[in-house]
Amino acid sequence: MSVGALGILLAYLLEGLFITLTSLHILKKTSNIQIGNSRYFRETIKDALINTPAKWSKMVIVTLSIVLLAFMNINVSDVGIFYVALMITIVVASIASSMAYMVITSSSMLKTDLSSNSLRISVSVTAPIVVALLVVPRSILSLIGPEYESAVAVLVILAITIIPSAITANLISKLNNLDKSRLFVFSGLLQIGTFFYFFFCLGPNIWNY
Amino acid sequence: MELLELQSQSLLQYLSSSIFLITSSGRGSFRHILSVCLSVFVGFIVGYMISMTLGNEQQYLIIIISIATSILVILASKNMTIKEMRFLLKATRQKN
Repeated sequence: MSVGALGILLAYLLEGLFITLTSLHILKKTSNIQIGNSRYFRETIKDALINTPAKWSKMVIVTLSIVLLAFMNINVSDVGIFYVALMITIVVASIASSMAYMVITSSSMLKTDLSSNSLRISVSVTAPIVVALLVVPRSILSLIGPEYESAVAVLVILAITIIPSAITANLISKLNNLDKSRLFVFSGLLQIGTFFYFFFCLGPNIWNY
Repeated sequence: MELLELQSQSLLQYLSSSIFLITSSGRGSFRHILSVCLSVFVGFIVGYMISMTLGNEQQYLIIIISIATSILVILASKNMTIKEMRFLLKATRQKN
């Protein structure tokens, strides 16, 4: 490992430690959160574990896609082009997912489930952007650079995934609000399972590498 | 080709999970989801037809018309009102 890579890792570690300590300090001062309370700690860990499969599924798509492309000896420039298309769709999908996550706190404060409204508004806001991505993908990619124009097909497929991913994010926040933990865990596991199932069914060429 | 296969998997993964969640969490939001899918479809078809008629040189016109069509379908299906749209724009402007 070069010094440069170690430096990046150390910076990442220090940033994490700094943010954690500062957040804990601010939380302790501004809210009535009891950090030493074991019951509260257990509940937090339980909620975190319930949320884990849904988080993993997103990580699987983003991280594993890049790792698999490297594993398949795909050209580095092609991986870069794919990454740019992926980033565009992540940015667009983040409008709906951030609304979905923010509505959890609003719902718990107002003690009512606002996720249906969040779903309605977030998908309505996202839909025109998805249309733009589907209609003129080449022009959007050429705004970043003419070398990215070859990712048209990848961007179109990724753009179609935005609406289902927005629906998933909002319905996951609904399950959080309604405290339906079993369905929640199952949906996360279903996402991971579906990815691996179609990975083995659709991508037999991958194993020839 | 491998890039497309990988992305098809992501698409199928999200489709299956969203269909499962829609069916398991009640049909309350089903109408909204249907009208959004319709707005995307109509916007895409209109944009495609204009690009077939005018050619690919009129990119800005194609984007504007297809986005406007999609917004019109959303408003017509009462998925979102003009008041809500104005409120969102106002809030975004205030944040900036």
